[in-house]
Amino acid sequence: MAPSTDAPTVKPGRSRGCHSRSSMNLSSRELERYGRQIGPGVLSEAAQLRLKESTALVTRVGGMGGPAALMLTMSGIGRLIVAHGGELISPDLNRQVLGTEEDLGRPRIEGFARRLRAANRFVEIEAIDHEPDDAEAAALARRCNVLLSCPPGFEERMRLNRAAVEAGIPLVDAAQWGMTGTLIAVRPGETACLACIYPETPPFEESFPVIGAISSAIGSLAALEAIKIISLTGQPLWGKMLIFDGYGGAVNTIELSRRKSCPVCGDGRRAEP
Amino acid sequence: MKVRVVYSGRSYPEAASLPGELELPPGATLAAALSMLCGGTRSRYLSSACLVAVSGKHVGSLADCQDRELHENDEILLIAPVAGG
Ligand SMILES: [Zn+2]
Repeated sequence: MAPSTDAPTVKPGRSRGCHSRSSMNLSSRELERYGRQIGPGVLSEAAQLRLKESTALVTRVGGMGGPAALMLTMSGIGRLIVAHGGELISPDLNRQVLGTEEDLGRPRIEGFARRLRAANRFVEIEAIDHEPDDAEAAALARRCNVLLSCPPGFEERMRLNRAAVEAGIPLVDAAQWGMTGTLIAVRPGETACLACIYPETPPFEESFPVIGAISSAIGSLAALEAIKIISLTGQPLWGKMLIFDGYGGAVNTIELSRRKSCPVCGDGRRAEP
Repeated sequence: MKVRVVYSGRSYPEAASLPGELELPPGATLAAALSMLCGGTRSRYLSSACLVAVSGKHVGSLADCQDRELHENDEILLIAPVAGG
């Protein structure tokens, strides 16, 4: 469906988004679409406009990144960049909500992007059919207002953390195992980054247990953090880790400590050449 | 004095075999508590990368954390890192 061309009704508010597109506004059709999320306790019209002016990167878009990408798309973010390599396989479908039976055996990102585009005609979806390396992650981060880290291992998480810190943009890290999950929001230079928390890359198995209900829950919470951060709404989890123990039915939040010698955001950084 | 111990993250399936409470002498330190928790056969359940928090404040990992005096009713939270996507 073609983008709406109806008359603008809301002027842009002040955007702290570092890469905002100028002279934007919300059309009456967009205001109708987002009517249930604009109001007391949710978003102001200016906050909704800030979402529209923003770009987010979600990588990858599987168990957690899929629901995160879907919620960001449905919320009305302006541009969403999604990255995920490989082909969809049957075991993915216990949690990868953007996948379908019809897409089995096909490149994941094609079906995922199609599903996201079908969810909201007002959002631009940019699809990348592989996991970005260091250079690409850094370049993507410079185009974004927020980065959502949802890959299945620590190496990629650390790469996305470095890219976000270098670009000076917030990182939301969502992670999961079994029926438990964690969520961290990093404000570079001000709160602990992933390298502050994990001085050594922790061991982690490639084939981890997961049930879709927990990955979707954590992915949706990651989207909520990103929405709050880019729309300047509510209180993001800056410098905290939320730990959701779905098995035991408990939620904990801890205050994270920065590490002075952190090689990514602290004194341990290599000097610029 | 008593302190509570909570296990989360990657290690929760093993938590049932680990103590949920420690009885410590007054003035006991976090290092002493962690030594009790992670000694012997228990160490296989708790990797050195486990994050350690005391009463809501992150103090490092089992491999390297800031020692401190514990107080009655403190809660030690051990979070085995997770990274699944
Ligand atoms: Zn750091």
